Amino acid sequence: MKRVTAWLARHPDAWLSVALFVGYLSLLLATSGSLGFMRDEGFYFSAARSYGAWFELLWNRPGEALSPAVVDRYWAVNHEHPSLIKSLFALSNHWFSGVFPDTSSSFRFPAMVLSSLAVALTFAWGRRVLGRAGGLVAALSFAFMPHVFFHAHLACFDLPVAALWLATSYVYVRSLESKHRGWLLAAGVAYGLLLDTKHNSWIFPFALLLHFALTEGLPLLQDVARGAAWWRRLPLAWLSMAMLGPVVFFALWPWLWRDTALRLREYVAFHTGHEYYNMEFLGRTYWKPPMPRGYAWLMTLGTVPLVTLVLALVGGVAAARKSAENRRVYAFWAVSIAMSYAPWLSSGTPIFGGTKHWMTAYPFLALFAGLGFTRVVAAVRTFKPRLPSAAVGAACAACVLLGPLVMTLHAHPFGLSAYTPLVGGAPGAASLGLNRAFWGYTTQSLAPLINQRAPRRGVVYVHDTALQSFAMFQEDGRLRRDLRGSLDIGASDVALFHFEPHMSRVEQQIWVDYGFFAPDAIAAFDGVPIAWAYVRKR
Amino acid sequence: MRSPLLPTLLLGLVPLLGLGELGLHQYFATRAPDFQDYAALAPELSKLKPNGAPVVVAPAWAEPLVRQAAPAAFPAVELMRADDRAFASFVEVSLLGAHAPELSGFAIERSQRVGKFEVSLRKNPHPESTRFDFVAAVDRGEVEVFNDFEGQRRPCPARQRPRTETGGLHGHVAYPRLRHECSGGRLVAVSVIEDQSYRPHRCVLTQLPDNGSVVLRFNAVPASARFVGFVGFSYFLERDVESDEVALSVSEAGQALGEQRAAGARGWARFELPRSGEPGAVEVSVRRLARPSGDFCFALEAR
Repeated sequence: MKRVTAWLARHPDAWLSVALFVGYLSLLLATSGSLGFMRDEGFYFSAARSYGAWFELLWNRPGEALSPAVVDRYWAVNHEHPSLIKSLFALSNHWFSGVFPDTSSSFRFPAMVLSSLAVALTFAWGRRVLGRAGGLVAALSFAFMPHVFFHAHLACFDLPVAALWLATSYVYVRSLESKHRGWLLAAGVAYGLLLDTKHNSWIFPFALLLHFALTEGLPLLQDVARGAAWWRRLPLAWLSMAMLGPVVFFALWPWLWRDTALRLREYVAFHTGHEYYNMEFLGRTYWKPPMPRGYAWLMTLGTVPLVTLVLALVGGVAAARKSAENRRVYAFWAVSIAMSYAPWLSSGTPIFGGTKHWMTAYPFLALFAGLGFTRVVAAVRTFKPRLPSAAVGAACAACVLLGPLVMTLHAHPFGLSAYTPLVGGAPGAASLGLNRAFWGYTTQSLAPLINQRAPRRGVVYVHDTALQSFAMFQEDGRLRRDLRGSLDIGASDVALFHFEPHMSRVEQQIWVDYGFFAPDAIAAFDGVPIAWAYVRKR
Repeated sequence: MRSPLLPTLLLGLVPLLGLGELGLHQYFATRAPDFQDYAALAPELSKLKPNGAPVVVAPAWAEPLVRQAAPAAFPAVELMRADDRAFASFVEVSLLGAHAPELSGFAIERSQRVGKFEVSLRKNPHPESTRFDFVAAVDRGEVEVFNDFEGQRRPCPARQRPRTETGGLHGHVAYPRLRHECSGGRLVAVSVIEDQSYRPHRCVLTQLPDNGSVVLRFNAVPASARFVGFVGFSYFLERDVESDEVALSVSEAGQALGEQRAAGARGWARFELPRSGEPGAVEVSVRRLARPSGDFCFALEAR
């Protein structure tokens, strides 16, 4: 411990990294209890319990656990998504279920850790390339994007995949800069972990190719023309990633241990042919192609604080200058952003998940914001050259970070409903016909009514909340345990309705069955109704 | 070397942009009315709303909040109306300076500020007054329902089931407790479907046999210039179906007035049938054109 402390004393930026990690993780843990459970979290809780049971079997009776039929029995659950993050949920639940005051936090903990690591790594990379102030602004700009903060809580894959993409990128870029073979090995392992996190990983090789083409394409062509050994220019990390990546992916996902080719095809087919769920955008509900090509861009504009976007733009312009240092790194950041958004250039790509789809771009957007911040500080100092540079930097940082911080904390627990002033906040977004929420997680905001008004052993129609998520509400003590969640309005005493236009049919069913039209409680964010509940009159 | 002034100045303004954005955030976050504002609106709305004038909230997203605060201002026939044309006036509750686009051509007769709201009475310049509402007649039990197969009619008696059946998130629309039941468990009852904008409409849900038709007979329909009808399915459930699924035909005193076909993708579709000759018993006959087809729903009014 003394050695660690001494090392940290010699490396103040390491302290900052640790402080960012611990601070963000603490904030996530402190606010998790007030954030309801997403529909998908319910499915992942169930999957993690199944995988956890298999880990326990593996520990106690490894021979039995490793038999193909047993592997399939435990790992068939939710096999449309890779296993790494759900395995972490399972292990975390096993080890930490008594540590946290509620069960759900033990499942959510790994995703929170990865999200916090992403914040710390954004700082570390920013510090390395932009300096301390730039790195700090980058990390906090990423941490305090309202939608990032929301997703960072969840037992889902969206922030974990952003964290793994960032980590893999960092390791890869270091492998290009350093002769240390460890980076090569790490790149392969990191890509394997990324592969086993979410299918965004399929795009990553295209980022590598594009980055290579931008930075080494011309010299390589010259080598080819000269008949020189052009292949020497190919990054060795590619080999490591191509060899180690699939091995790690395969080793960590027991579902693939049998019928590998068939199951891989099934996995790919699930995501390439994914169902088009409904999503409201500019007053229209999209449920089949063509999807609006402006979706990703406008949603980014409407949900990421404008000051962060402007800083990123400034940073992008600065990075594009020929005189810029670190052009190879900036190119990778730009390529990561471009590749994260690339699928939404096609009108055939589903949009049902909102901003989470392209969240892998956000750490890089924040890094450019950090670069932009350094330029802004330099500009401000030209006006006030006598002021201490630290004071100028601190004042500028406060100006560009206070808004995102306030907006982010204000949005909790309605993170998906959060929109920036550019679109008029939540009321403006609702008037524009932008999605208010999905995933049925706002049940928590209606919990006071449910707990107070539902009869003893009453039945609650859960609407868009998964029954597994409803069960977690009860397990955590957020909803009364005598209640029963149900998918049957007719059997219910309390009926929930999570607003999305295409689901209005559900509210109309409640009207017909309950015989009245006035909600008994409404959960609203900044005056905009998000979810509401009806109590049956007896 | 000195930096060019304009870019430097613009860069220097970025921190102020951050503060400006924060200020705007505070403004937008507190701008909309809160629950107390809606509670204060409710008694005033009750006083200002004439009978038979539907309440329209602008922007539409605030409607559930007004509905919660002032339930009496939203009777079923107004909340789930077939269309706007049948009503002579509307009460517009507007907030944040918004106005309902569907009322844009309706003159404001009077307007009053109530807290954060503007409550206006708006006149429909060309109301089509309803002489007879067939959906309301079914609700009142003033209808005979038959299964018709090759001219043979079998009555579908009115029944009351212990509870409403609902399809929930992905299932069918509500099948009410009060219903007419035809052979094979098919029902005819007043329910609600959503249109292509996902707005509600009260209508006669008619489940159809594979062969033959369902006939609804109304005996006391007053004279009017025409029938105005609406046909559709739950848009969410049938919006992919572009081909005709169901045909609805109307006859009066034994004389055919016309037929309207319905497909899910067309949403809630309006049609008109001029009435001719002497008024008499009106029969609405509905038959299936495609198998399977969804739960068909229609509204009909004598206007």
